This record gives sequence, structure tokens and C-alpha cells, in this order.
Amino acid sequence: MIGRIGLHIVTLFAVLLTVVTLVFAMLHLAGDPADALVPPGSDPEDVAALREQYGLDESVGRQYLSFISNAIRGDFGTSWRFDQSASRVVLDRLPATLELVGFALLLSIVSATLLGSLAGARPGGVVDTIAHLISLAGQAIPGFWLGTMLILFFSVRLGWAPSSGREGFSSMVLPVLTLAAYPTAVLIRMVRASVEDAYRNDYVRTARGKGLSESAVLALHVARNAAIAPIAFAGVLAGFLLAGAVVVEWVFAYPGAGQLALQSVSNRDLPVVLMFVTCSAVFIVLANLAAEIATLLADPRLRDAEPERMRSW
Amino acid sequence: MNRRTLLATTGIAGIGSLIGRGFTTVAQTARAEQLTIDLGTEPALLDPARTYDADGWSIVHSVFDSLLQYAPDGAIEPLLAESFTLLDPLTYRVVLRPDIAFHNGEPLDASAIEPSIAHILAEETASQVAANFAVIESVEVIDELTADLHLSSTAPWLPAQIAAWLCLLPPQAAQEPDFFATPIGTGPYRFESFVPGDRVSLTANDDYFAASPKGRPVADRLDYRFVADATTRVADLLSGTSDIVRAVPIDQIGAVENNGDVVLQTPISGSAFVRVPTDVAPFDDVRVREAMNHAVDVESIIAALLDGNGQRLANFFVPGGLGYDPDLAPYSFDPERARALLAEAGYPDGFDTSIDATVTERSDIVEAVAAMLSDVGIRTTVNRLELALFNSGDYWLGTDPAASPLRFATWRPLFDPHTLLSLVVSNAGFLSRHDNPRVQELIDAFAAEADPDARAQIGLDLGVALFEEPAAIYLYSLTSSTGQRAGVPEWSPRPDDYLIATLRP
Amino acid sequence: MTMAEHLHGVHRASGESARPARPARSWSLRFSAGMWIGLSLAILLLVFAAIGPLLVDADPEAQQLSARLTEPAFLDGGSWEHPFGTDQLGRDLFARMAVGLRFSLAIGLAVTLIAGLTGVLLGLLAATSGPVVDRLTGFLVNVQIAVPAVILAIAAAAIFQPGTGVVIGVLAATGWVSYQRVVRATTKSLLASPFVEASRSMGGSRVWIARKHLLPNSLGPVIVIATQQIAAVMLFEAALSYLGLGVPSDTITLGGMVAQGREAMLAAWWVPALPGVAIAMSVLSLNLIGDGLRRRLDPRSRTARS
Repeated sequence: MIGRIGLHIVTLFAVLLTVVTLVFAMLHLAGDPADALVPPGSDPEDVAALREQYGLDESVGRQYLSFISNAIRGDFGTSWRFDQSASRVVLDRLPATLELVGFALLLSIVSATLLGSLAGARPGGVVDTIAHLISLAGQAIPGFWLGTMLILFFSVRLGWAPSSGREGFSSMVLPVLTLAAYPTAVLIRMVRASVEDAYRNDYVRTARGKGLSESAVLALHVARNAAIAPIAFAGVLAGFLLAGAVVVEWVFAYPGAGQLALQSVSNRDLPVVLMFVTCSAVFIVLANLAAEIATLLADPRLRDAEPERMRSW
Repeated sequence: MNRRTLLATTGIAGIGSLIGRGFTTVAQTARAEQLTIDLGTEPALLDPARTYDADGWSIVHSVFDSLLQYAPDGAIEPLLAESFTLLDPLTYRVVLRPDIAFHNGEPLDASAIEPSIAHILAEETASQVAANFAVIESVEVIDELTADLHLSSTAPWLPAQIAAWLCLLPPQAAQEPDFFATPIGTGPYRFESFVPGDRVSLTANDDYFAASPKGRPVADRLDYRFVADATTRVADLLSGTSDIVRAVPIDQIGAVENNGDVVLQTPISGSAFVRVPTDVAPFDDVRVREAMNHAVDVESIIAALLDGNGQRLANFFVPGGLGYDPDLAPYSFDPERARALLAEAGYPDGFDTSIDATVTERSDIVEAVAAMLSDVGIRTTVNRLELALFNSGDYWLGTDPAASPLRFATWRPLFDPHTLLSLVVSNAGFLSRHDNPRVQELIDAFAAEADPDARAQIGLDLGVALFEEPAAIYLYSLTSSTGQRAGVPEWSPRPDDYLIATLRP
Repeated sequence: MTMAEHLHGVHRASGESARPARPARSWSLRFSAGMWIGLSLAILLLVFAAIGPLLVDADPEAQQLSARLTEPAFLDGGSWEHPFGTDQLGRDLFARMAVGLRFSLAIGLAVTLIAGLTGVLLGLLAATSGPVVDRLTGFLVNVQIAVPAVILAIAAAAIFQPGTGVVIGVLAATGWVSYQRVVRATTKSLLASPFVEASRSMGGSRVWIARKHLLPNSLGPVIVIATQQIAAVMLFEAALSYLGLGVPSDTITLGGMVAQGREAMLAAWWVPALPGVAIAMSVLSLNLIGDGLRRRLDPRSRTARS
């Protein structure tokens, strides 16, 4: 198991290196990167100065090496709009985004595990039908639309929560709900499937035959089965949520890194955009690694399984 | 009931309503403990020399004061200056108001003027307006409160630049490297904190000078929040999350009013137009440009898409600003005439073209203009661009192959149209694709004429010249539509579109 | 329950079924009903997209400022002249939605085609070209996961000129992974099966085996993924339009209509809501069809895929 995790960590660095390489390639595909890295309408002198500073007048190979070494140090240059290092601008706002993603991850795992288990326990029952409908609806509604509806209903109509911003826990409720909707909808079905499967398992039937009460069966065996899918997919989910957070932050004027990235696109503040893309790649890769470790710890049976068993969805 | 008693009753009723009004005034002018204002965009820095939009100016001019500012009628009035006079064509004399202090206690005197100008000019500031202030050759301190600005050439347009950008900085504190992270000015509000992406918090400056034409603060604590999505801003207002919100979309005004809240429509000094390049065919033919002006039904756009706010314009210039002539009738909406002019110019079947607009402009208005042009045969497609891309020189000049010839733009402020003319219309302007000898002569005179009356006349002549040989499709004057909750203390909306929570005396 | 297991199920498909301990009253029973609902919705939407503009005498681009935000026919104040009412510029919503549905579907199909071909190819390569290629493609999968679609769209918007091509490119570049996994897993298990080994020992070439056995067996799950990907692309396209990173506004898409109509929501809810409903219906229909297909292909499986 240690070996497997070690391999993952090596892969992790290779993935990040590749992401940075792709960013470099995109920059060069689009034309002269010096033009893209300075504010629009800059003097040719400024462009020349920047070209020298970042070695953009050297060969592509050397440029690549210096780009990589700067990137490893988290140096993507200076945000011309904020007049400070791009990494600081992004890192200042990342915690707010991670908080949003963290709560949404928790909410979708807990609610999907609960609803999915109950649905899988009694296929065709009322809970099952409700879970099914939630699952279908949650997958069919665009996130920004759901967010707007939640604002109009819970903030404007009922006055239960602030309609935007990040002030206290109550302002987190609607963004977290919006963000968690789609992943919850997907997870419910997976949990339901594995719980239903567990019920059919010989082991459960045997346990029942021995006279264990239904609730004990559920607690002992099924719950454990129900938890595997959410934990195994937590890494993929985290990536999904981070991307979704961009939309949610825009709807709720939530002061996170996603909103910053969109503003930076609008202002063509490229260093900030590059830093954001790299930071999210780091986050997603780490989340996948954590999920991987958690799965191995949670279910010893998976230790010998093919790695892609846990990744395939 | 005889006449006498009737009068008496009226008298009493009159007094009663007067008292009533008196009470409401008291209630309305009481200072709010907390006021929350939603702006659309977030300033990156609170540096006046690097602020170029009305949302940023709202915050910057709450904390800082300039020497001058705009009065509600568009005239320039002294603010920190007690007087600002032209001694000779190359010298402005500034006399500061006495007994004014910065928020940190530093007293304001004439020694603050020179470093504040130097900050704009400094290369590391990278201010886009540095070139305008380069005309100030030197600052000569005469006495504690008096200084002379010596110019290298006549610059009648300088006061307008000063009003927007020359805020006075405390000479000592402004030396600190991170000064603009915790800015200190003389303005009606003190800076408290800046949470990136979220809000700037200010508190009332209780020592603000009572005579300030900017007015006194109307809230003890003021939060400017940044909410990009217009629907979310309106929801903030309806739910009480915010008290005042910027730019309410016209189709949501009804919802705001149904909620018992108010939408203030304030005419601001700015105009909307479609820049037409005059250096390429078919636009180099003046008949084509006339046809374009006849093709767009601006009155219908104002009625349907601007809720009746704004005024059809004959050129770039707007009411309250230099060059505006109420007697100059705008182009009529006349599609037949437009088609005839196009045919006359050799385009009986029209032609294909495209129009650039930023994603922050209202897409419906741009699309309406494009559809009206298409109706007379100028088949126009709309290109939406990110703000920074739209504003880049390559796009204005058309040197980028992806740039469209036409550009939908809104420009403010236009109290003194010098900036617009010198950038977009003059043959030397670095955003300009226009070169008309007659217009150029007038622009040069407009930039140099020191006598205000003579300059005003040049402005009118320019207006006529730009009308007769249009450099754009002239559209409408801008209106700011601000939503506010019932019960918000009275404050003074401004023609420069700065949203500052103060009440003018 | 994972995709890998599900795929083994696909392979063994016909005949044997898992020993049901309890009567299998799973969603799959009702999914046959779901399949019918999905199919009828799909037919309805396709007919609408195909002949919708012919039903009303309206050009989807024609503006009429004096008739902006008119109510749909089913509300007070509406008329059959504009069955779904008009938008902020007085354009007919019925005609626009029909055309928008066409473009949204076209974008979905284009993305699915590019992503599907790439994924299938990489999956086959991974399974048949030895461990080095397998690891390499597996690595590409990890790279892709580290850059989700919206984040790639942000990077692309900051670097390239906006356009429909960029949107399709971004979504295709981030959409091929599922195909790769499915095809790789199916192929691997097939290669280990007796009848492929038999073909191989009889001298069948790689290409021949791939054509004869591998592709046909992977086709089912690939179609399932493709169906659901079209749905996902419609949602992504809507989100990108909302963020201002979508297709240019002269291309009508349902997502763009929702995003543009949002500003009129409080005065005329139908302007954003009707295209929103069309998106939801399309996504629902495609997802139901995808589920139904999976059941058809694998009676044993109850696995859900995102």
C-alpha cells in the first residue's frame, strides 16, 4: 500500500508538470506571450522590458525551462491589475473557495449516503421514488439557474438567508446548497446501487437468517458498503465542485478565487488566470490522492484491486 | 363657509403639512448607522491616479478629496481649494481652505499639492492619465495655503482632469510603500478595511469640513460590496442584504417598486455612440455615415430599452457639458433616406460589417442597433469582447485582425469632452481612426483656448462639424439607475456618476 | 459498484443473470417506463427543433421593440402570434428556442463526436499496445481530471479569441476520459476471453480482432456515455454562457437564451424559464434514454454513471 501511495505521489508531480507545460503551450499557441502578459495597450517599451525580464527573447527551450522553474516557485509574474504577485492575489482568496467546496463536499456525501441508503434499502418505496426524482432533477437544472431560484425564494421571499456575500454561516447556506445539488444527484444513484447490491449479498441474507434485526444489518454491513462509493469518488467530486464554485461564486458574489479568475479573464490579467489554473490542478490532484488513501484505509478488499476500479465513473 | 375661514383652514393645513414635511426631513436626514451599497465592479487598488471607472471613483472620492469637483449642473466648483483661478494663460493659482486635516491628523497645506501631482506622474504609478498632468511644469508654493501651478502650454481642460484624478495625499503618510492598501485622505469617509472580492468598509469622518460642497456623510458605517451579477444586486435590495444598488436592469425596476423600494434615475454626463472608422471604405464616404445615423431609431431604443431615460444626441456632447447645443436637431430616423444615401454612395445592396461591444455593455441595445442597421442593408453582426480586449489600442485602431470596424462605446464623464476628442477623434489620438482637417483645427483650438467663453463657442462649432460629417452613430445621453430601499437617508446623486453617500448642503 | 464491474456485466450480457435474493424491484423496472418517457420527450424536442420555426410566421432574429416581453399564448395577454411570447427585443421565443435547440444539440453532437472518437481510440490503444502506452494514456486521464472543463474554459478565454470553436474544443478536450476507460476495460477483458484468444491463435491480426470483436462489444457502453454527454454539454454550454465564456451571441443557443433572459426574469419569467425548461427536458430525456439503454445492454447492472 505504501508503494502504491508513493507511486501516486510521483504521478502527482508529473501531472502538475504536464498541466504547467500545457499552459505554456497554450500561451505560445495564441501568439506572442509577452503581449498576453502585459496589460492591453501597453507601450512597446514595457513589452520589451517584460520580454527581457522573463527571458522571452530566448529560445523556446530555454523559455520553457525558466517558465517551469518560475512555476515551481509559484511565480507566475505580477498581476498588473492588483500590482502585486499573482500567486498572492490568488492565495488570498483560495481559502474562501475551499471552504465553499469543503462544505458542499460534506453535504453531498452525507445527504447522498443517507438518501441513497434509504432508497436502496426499500427499492420501489416512497423514499426510493423521492430519491430518484431528486437525482433526475438535480442532474437536469443548470447550477446558475438553481442558485437564482434559491435566492429569490429563500432570500427575497422568505428572508431566511442573505442573498449574496460571505458574512457568517447563514450566507454559506444557499451557495453550498447550489453547489452540492448536481454531485448529490449523481452520488445518490451510486450509493443506492451499492446498498441494493449489499442487501442481495449472501452475507446479509445469512445475517438475517440468524435473526439479526434489520437495523443491525443495515448498521453493520450496508452502511459500510454505502460509504465506499462516496469516499472513493470524493477526489473526483472535489474537482467537480471546484469548477462548479466558479459559477456559484459569480451568482452569489462570493469572494473566492473563482470570481477572481473570471474578473481576471475580463481584464486579461493573465498571470492571475495561470496561477488559478495551476492552484486548482494542485488541489484536485491532492484531493484525489487523499480519496485514494481513504479508500484503501476504509476497505482493505480494495488494496489488491486494480487502481482504475476506484477511478472509473 | 366664507372666504376668510377657507383661507384660515388652508393656512392651518399648510402649516400642518409644513410641519409634517419638516418631520420627514428630519427623519430622512438622520444619519444611518450602517449603509450597504452594491457596486458592479471591484477596484483592484484604491489609488485615485489608477482609477478609471465610476465604481472605483465612488470609493476613492469617498476617502479622498480633489481640489475641484463637479456641481450638480456640471460646472466645476472648488472642493479642497477655496479658489482656483487662472492668473495668466500659463498659471493657475490654488488657494486651499484653511483648517482641513487628513484622517491621520496631518494638516492640509500647500505642500501637499506637489507630491500629489508627482504621484500621478511617477513612472512606477503607471497612471494612464499621467500624460495629461505632464502639462504642469512646476508647483510654486506661495504661502501655507497658496500655490501656483505653472503650465508648459495653455490647458483649459486641466480642471476637468484635476476633478477626477488629482486627489490630495498626505505628504508624510503617502511615502509608505503600502499607502494605498490603507489609504488616508481628507474625504467624508475614513478607510477601515478592504476584503478582496467582497467589500470595502468605511466610517464617517466626523471632522469633515462642514462647508464641503461634496456634502456630509449620511452613514456612520458604509460598506461598498462588489456584486457583478445584476439580478443578484436586485435580489440584495429586495431581501435587505444591501440598501443601495447600482445599475438596476430596466426590466427589474417594476419588481423593486412593487417591493416598496425606489429606483432613482439620474442623468449623468456621458454619451453612448457607435464609433465609425473614417479611414476605410465604405465608411470613408460621409453619405454612408449619414445613412447609418438615419438608420438607427434611437427614440424607440430610449422608449423601449431605457425606460424613457436619456436623450437622443446630435453628436458626442451631452446636456450640461461643453459643446452641447440644444438647438441642434439630431439626425431623424429615416430608413428610406438611409437606403437612398447608401445607393448614392454606391452601395445599393448595402454591405456586411460587424460591431464590437464589451460584455459589460447591455447586449440588447447593441443587438437592437445592429438589427436596425441590417434593416437598411448594412448587415451587422455583434462581437462581444472582454473589457480589456475591447479597450486595447489594437482593437480601437483595427490593427488586430479580429477587431470590428464599428465599436459600441459609452463614454463618461463628458463635462469637458477634451479627453474623448483627443483620444478618439483627433488625428493624433491613440485610439483614433478619424482625420478631418476642419474638425482637427477646432480640436486643437479647443485644447488651447484659455478664454472660457471663446472655448465654449469652439465647442459648439465642433458639435456642428461633428454632426455634419459624423464620426460615429450618435445615440443617447446616459442615465444612472440606482435602486434604494425605502427609509435610506437622503443622499445626493451626482452627474459624474460617483455613488458617494453624502448629502449636499 | 464500479464501472469496471458493470463492464464485465456488459460482456457477459445475455443469458445468465445474478441470483436475485429479493425480487429485483429496482429502478431498472421503472426505467423501462423512464426509457419511454425519455424517448417521447426526445421525439417531441426533435420535432420542435425540426419544424418549430415553420409553425410560427417569425424570423428568430427579427426584432420588434414595440412588442417586447409579450406573454406566451398560455398566459393572459398572450396570443398565438407568439406562442411562447417574446424576449427583451421583441424576438419570437418559440422560433428562437427551436433554433437554439438545434445549435445546442449540434454543439453537443460535435463535442461528443470528437471526444468519443478520441476516447475510443485512446482506450483501444491503452488496452492493446502494451503497458507503456497503457500507463501513458492513464497518465493523460489524470492530467485531464486535474483541469475541469470550466477551468480550462477560463484559461482558454484568457488566451484565445472567443468563439464557438473554442467552446467545442474545451468541452471535447475534457470529455474523452469516460470513453477511454470503458473501451480500455472492455477490451482488456475481451482480450483475455477464450474466443479472442482463439482468433488470435488462428492468426487474426490486431486490426482484425479489433474490428471483429472489440469495437462491437464496446459500442453499447460508448453509446450510453455519448447520450449522457450530450446532456452534460448542454448544461456546460449554459454555464459558460452565463459566465460570458460561451458561444458568441449571434449563435442562438438555449444556454445563451437563459443567460440573456435572466435580466428580465422578475418582469417576464418566461423569457429565461422557457429555454431553461427546454434544457432541463433535453437533459432529462437524454439521461433517461441513457439509463434505459444501459439496462437493455446489461440487465444485471443497476450502476449509475454520472
